[in-house]
Amino acid sequence: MKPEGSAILHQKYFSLSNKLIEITLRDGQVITCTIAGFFRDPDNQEQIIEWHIVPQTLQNTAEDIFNTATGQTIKHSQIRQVVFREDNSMMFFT
Amino acid sequence: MALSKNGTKAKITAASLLVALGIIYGDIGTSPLYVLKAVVGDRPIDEMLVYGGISCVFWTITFQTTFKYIFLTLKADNNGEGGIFSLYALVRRYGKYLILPTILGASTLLADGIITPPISVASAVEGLTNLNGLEHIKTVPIVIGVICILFFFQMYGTHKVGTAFGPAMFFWFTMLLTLGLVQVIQNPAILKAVNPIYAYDFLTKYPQGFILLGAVFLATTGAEALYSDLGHCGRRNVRLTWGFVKTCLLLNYMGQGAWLLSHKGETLVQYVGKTKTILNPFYEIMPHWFLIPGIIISTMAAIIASQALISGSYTLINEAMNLNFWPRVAVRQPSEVKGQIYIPSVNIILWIGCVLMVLYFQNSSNMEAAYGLAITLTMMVTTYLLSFFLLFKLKWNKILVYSLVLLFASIEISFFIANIHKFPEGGYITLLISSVFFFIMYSVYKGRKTSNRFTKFVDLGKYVADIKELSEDDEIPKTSTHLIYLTKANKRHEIEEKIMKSIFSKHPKRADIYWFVHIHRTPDPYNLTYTVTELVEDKVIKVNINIGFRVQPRTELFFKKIVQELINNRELNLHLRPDVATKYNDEPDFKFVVIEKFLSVENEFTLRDGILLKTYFLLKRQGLSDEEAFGLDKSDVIVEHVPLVYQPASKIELRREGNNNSI
Repeated sequence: MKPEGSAILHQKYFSLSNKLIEITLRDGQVITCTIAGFFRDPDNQEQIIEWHIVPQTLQNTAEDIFNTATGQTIKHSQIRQVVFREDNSMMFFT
Repeated sequence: MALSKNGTKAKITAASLLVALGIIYGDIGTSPLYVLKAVVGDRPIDEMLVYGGISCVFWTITFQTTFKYIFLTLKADNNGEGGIFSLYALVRRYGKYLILPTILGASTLLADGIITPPISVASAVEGLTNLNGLEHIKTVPIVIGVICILFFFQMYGTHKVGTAFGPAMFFWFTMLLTLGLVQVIQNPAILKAVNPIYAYDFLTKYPQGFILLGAVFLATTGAEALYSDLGHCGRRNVRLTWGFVKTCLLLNYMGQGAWLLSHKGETLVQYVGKTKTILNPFYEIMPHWFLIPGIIISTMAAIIASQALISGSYTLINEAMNLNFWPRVAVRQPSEVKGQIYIPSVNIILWIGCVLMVLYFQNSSNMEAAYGLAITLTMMVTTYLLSFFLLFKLKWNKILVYSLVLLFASIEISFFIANIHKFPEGGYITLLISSVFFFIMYSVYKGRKTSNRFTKFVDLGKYVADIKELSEDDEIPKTSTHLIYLTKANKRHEIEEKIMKSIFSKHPKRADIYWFVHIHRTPDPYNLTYTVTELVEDKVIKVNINIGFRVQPRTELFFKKIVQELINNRELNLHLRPDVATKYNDEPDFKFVVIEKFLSVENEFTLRDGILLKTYFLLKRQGLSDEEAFGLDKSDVIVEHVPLVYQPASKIELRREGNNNSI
């Protein structure tokens, strides 16, 4: 079975040395960030349904004083495009 | 000798055939005790009723039991195991909407499991009223007594008496055959009933004939239990013995029919004083001198049938637990026989349920009115799941599969419509019990799903250097030589964030070796294998243990065995890091860290989510703790609690006094 988009993004991202990426959302918003974590689909563990991203501007404060992660979570379906800074390659999501 | 996965002999021997008789056919084999009594009831006996009723029973057993279950459904064995959950495990990846029907089917099967022991035992014991002088005997205390003894002895297992079940059922079926044959020889005209035209006339012309299908259906209720017990004997044993069983059953039904034909114009109603009772044709075909042994044999067969249902319910709940549909409860193995389990909490539920059924319905005639409605739903679900199996696993032609589904759906929907008339007469009881089971299963499924949905995974590689540094930092007191976390992450470089927080936050946990153990429940019922990945040599190790869904996850035992194997293979060196503890005791110490979620006070729920999640966490508290469920010794476990924030409260009007700013 062909792996679906989120699994390919996961595989590619965690093989990178330079973890900085540029995500373009479907609403046109562009976020330069790293991925801090992800949430899998409980019914299909191969699929990631949400990503926890930390924008570049917050890199040094990944957690607040209550140990709560900063940054934001975005649904995988919200992502239109990802640019990987390490090799400037792009991944499109239809 | 070739062994099947579950340890039962795959070879066909006289002994294996006897075992099949004793385990598989208890439910369906005791149906002659009540089917024709339910069909005839207090109606005047006439040819259309007798020929039509027998014809319907014949074709129901042929289509539903023989063709659907023995020929088709038994193909769907999951490494030798049968039953609705095994079928679901086989086909779940082929359909999106299979969970709810599966839960529904399992709930209704369990509910019918509560009524089967009372109806079988009551029908057998009521035979006593046929004896002179015992017409007024109160059967309820005897039935309750038999049921109580049966449930009491469950904790000791059935291994010893179980060996007698096969010969006892062989004796039972031979009795059915002999009694039936004697009557058929006297009135061979009853054999005409195999002509389906009689069934057609009965359903279309006999007053309320279609509704009487609900009584006819009782002849096949045991087919679902037959499929559930497949794992005990194997498909070939079941198929081979079915020929004998079917012959015995049909001849007995025919014999009862022949006796009824000789009483045309009469009814089965009998008045004992002012009490109206219905004569049971099953006992009427017995010679009077044989009544006492006949009643003893019938009661014995009813007990064996009940035992099969009780054992089947344990298996069903155990599978439900392993598929995350049931709260984790204690499961015991009363004997060394593989696959034989005893679940104390389920035993108590069934015990109370069966006793309440007897007290509520009082006699088998009233129970017949409630019996069968729920199981029609299970059968419809089995047909639905079976269609996925035939289409995607066996890759049968679509048109053929759809035709079969259409055939069985029309039969089962007819039975359902006929059975729905039982709702006000007692069917509501089994549907009520089914809905309680359904609610429990759905809440557990949904709660577990939500809980897993909020499990955040992070890249383990990112933390490896920090773990190594922490392990070697002597300023931090050592928590344990081996620190073991149970993880849901099955990928090599993945771990839950809460585990990393547990290691580093607040009071960091220092250990010589950090283990991340992933338990993978496999669809292969008795699988037990493992893989090991060392992320940092002798420091950070990930272990995946693959455990079949019928194997008890005794994680600590398995884990220690794996460590022992790694040491024996010189893949792991435990004595590289002597510390204070090893001066007094060179045994390595293990600490398992279990992280339990609880519903955070920060949550704000919708009504539906609130009910489901609160029920899930309530059931979780009542069930086994994580350490018990994973088979960990309490002395080796650290339990940490983390809040589950599902829907944080968003509108908080918190004002600082003397200031207009709100947060």
